[in-house]
Amino acid sequence: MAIDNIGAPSRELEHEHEHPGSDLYIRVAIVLTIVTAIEVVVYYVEAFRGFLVPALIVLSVGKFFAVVGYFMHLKFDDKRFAWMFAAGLVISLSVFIAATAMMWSDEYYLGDVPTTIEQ
Amino acid sequence: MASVVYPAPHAQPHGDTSRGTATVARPKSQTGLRSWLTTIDHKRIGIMYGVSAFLFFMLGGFEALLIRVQLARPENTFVDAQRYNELFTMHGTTMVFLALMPMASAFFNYVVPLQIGARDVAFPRLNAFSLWTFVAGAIILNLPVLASLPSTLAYILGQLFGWVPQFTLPFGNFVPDQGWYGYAPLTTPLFSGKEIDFWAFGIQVLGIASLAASFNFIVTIFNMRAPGMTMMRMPIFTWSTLITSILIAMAFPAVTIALVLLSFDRLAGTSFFSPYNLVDGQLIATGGDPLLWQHLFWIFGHPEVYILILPAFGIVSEVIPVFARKPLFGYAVMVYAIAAIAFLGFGVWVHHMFVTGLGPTPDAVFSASTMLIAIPTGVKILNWTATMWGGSLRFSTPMLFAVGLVSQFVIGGLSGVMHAVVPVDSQQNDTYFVVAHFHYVLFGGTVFAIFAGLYYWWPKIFGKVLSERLGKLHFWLTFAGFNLTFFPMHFLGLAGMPRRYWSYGAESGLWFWNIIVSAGALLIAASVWVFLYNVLESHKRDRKAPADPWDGATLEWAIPSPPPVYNFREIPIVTHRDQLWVEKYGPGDHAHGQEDELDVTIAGAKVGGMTVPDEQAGEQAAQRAETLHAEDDAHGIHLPNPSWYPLISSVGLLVLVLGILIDNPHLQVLFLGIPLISLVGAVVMILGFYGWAFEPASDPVHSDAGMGSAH
Amino acid sequence: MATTVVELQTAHGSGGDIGHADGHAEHPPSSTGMDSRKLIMWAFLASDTMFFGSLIGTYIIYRGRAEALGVGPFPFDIFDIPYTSVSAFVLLMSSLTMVLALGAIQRGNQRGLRVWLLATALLGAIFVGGQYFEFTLFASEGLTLTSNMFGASFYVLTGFHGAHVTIGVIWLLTLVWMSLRGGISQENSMVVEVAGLYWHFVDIVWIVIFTLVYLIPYEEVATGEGAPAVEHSMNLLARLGAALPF
Repeated sequence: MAIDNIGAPSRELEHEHEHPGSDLYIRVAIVLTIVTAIEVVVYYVEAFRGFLVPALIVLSVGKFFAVVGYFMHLKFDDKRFAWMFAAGLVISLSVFIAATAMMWSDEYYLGDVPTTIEQ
Repeated sequence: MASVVYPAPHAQPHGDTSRGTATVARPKSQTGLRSWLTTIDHKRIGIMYGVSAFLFFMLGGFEALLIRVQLARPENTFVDAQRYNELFTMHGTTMVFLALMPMASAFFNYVVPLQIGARDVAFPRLNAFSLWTFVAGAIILNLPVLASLPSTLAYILGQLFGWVPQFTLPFGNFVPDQGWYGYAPLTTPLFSGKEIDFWAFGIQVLGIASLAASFNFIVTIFNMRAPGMTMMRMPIFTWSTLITSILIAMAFPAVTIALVLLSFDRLAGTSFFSPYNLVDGQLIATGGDPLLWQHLFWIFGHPEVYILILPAFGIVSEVIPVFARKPLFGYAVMVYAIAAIAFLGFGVWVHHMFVTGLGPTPDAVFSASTMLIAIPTGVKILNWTATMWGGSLRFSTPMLFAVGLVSQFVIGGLSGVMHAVVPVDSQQNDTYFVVAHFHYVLFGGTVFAIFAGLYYWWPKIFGKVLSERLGKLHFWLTFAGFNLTFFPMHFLGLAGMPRRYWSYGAESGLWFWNIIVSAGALLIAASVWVFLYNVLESHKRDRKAPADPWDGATLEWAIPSPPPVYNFREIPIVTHRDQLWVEKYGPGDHAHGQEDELDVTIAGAKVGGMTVPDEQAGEQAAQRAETLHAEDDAHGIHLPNPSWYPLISSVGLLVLVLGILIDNPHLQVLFLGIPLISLVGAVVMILGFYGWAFEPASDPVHSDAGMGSAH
Repeated sequence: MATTVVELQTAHGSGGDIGHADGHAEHPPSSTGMDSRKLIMWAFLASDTMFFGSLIGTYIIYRGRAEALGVGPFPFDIFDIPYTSVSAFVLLMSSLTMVLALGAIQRGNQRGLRVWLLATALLGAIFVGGQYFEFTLFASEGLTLTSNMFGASFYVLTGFHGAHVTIGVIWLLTLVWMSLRGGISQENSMVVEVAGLYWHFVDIVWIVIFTLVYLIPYEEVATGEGAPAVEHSMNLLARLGAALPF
């Protein structure tokens, strides 16, 4: 059961993990650079306008997971770290998407603005 | 001798000549003021949390009494409207942030490491920093109250003798008066003064303390458990501490950011929370939105409610099984219920905002999610009742308070479900019905549980027995006073009496229940004095408490009362839930049905079964125990040394914040645009952090260290 | 936050301060097998998502309000995408040098550790300096904290991130200092790893900010001169907003 896995003693100790070597990191960094370049290109090229927002979101989510997975070792590390971070991420994403949706307004109506104030 | 070493079984002296690099000499004394200021012992920190929380509980209670004196009769002029606003603001803020939360911290600190069989928390110095930062926040929050004493005194003299001061009083009167949730735009510069800065920075600093403590306890509970104590063998109070800590870690950031934005509004001229900004006497439309404050505040504020109540549930879940002499009914379901309450707690904040007109969809969604929370809460009530069912009950004082919670919290919970219904809530919003609801939850829930916990763990903490006779008197006075105070508030609310009004008309017909409520408040005050008398008497009579006065089930009762500094001579090995009962009585009666078995069946269907991967866990536990014991044998019991740095860092933080807050032109010397006092505070704080970072957690043991002699 | 950072500097034992006092390399196992310092850092990072969630939410809500009131400057008058892309690239590269620093100390290479740590700190400092320059540039073009809600929420969000980077730079330099004093051993590489987690988190936050703040347009009308015409995608988002039942 998932909740008990959190507590069950792990057989793996930290340093038994094989940390990936430098060349993998460099490859990941190159990919990240290319994706960033693509983002900027997508932003400027007229033809991509139709799917600019979804494309940007997909690309940045990809970058996000590349850094978390490789540079922060979550891909290789104890899965419970990943669960912990994912839980926090899911809570904050859902809370703030809901709050932003409720606060979002196409038009902002101020009403009759008083121009002076009685002190 | 530089290090505190206690003898472990078969300990050998151990030599090591490398030295720490601390620049402030390490404190060595173990008694006296200095030892308390530098302590990083979780037990002492817990006691200090408890004492300060109780003092603030008395202060908040005093403020409540003044409110009740004012409302005791219609059109009273005991205080004026402004002071009334200040009283309910400080009452709410003090009770939530300075009384109930730190009281829970006191129990976390004292009890959790004992329950999980550890010698301290994972990061003891961070723990001390949390304590001192809490004290700093409490000072900042209450400085306006202190500074307003001259004007208050003049006010009282004016009321009594008609004396009007002929000179300017120092400081004036600037106590926060906007309510504990600080709704914008009451807090914006347009409508408020310096007091809101103290309030905002005070809560900000308290937030730092709470966050640091929460990270510490998450790690402690995950990582410091005794060998063999799997998550599902943890005492339920430890579970509730873990979940509460997760709630704090996820909820406080929202209010931190809200307060940052508010401080920008107040100090830098932005208008995050106000649609208008005042520029040269002209109102400029900015597009800021007071609703954003409400969202951010309640994204924090609703989980905060569970931060206040979950430790209470944990305490009660410890007390009831012990006094029913029966294992907790449905342990696994109880754990899931706590987790479910915490998780759902993040999805209900809008029910505090039903009358702001968010539209039918948010109202419907959050109404439904609010009602959902009643399910896990109801499960807990059922499990407590089922634990008592068929048990051999002893109604000692802790049990009385625990059962008091079960009965009174149900009333608060039911009125809570009423508030989940949007049309009903729209009627009850901002009336005394709401006041009745949350006092049934926070007093009938949290305060009852705190007293249950105090009576339950008092013999363990102080090694002295409290009088049962006085305890029972205390309980019945509290119980009567509580219901007398808060039950009639339901009637007042339904009769239409609004919250936060300083007075009511003589013709309104509200006087009858109001005088009853005020009388009840006096009864509660009297009951607190009974408790204090009980404490005093217990220390005078000095009746020693045995190690295990209640026939407890958890590890803290396995060690002497009060516990030695190192808690456990030998780190225990845990094989069962309710470990101590199993050790005392064998795995028969008490442990029956706890492990690997179904916990609850409803209509023949298994609901809460847990299988623990026992063989693997057992083998690993044995290995780990062997390592830990070998370590003790080789080095003696190593405890981290006391340290000045947490205190220094917190004092630096306090000075830093005070530098921002003080606006006396003689003190507010700017250096590179930064107040000089703040700069000094920042330097002290950073030096404290660096000293801390470069100071080893505990000094190495020297070969000349006398074995087992602790100075 | 800073205190968490400070506590992590304490280079002793995997069970936090307790349980292992003499700073030897052995690891008395914690109940979960997870290192306490790493665990507290992940707990802090999970919580930090709420900090940035609050700020990013505030920004998204308020960015359009300047537009609605017609009080400029607006995002498209101000943002210089090529410049910020370079900043984003610098921060990405600092993540690379950070993992290389960790790799170095895990192989016991003290000099490599210091070189890569210094490189990371330098890249971080370049980022913060670039942000300072960007802020002064924007201010000279009329965008201040108080000019409109876009300015207020933009500066607070990116400033909060910049503060994170600054703390990170100080932390990295402290690690270099510790390494010079011989305080970081191969077995003790956790000190570096934990700092790395913090550093990479700051990087992923910037990935999110770069997309949500700089690249994605929110307004119905782009008014800036140098801004690309992005009406279509804006309509897309507007449609998305209109489709929501709120």
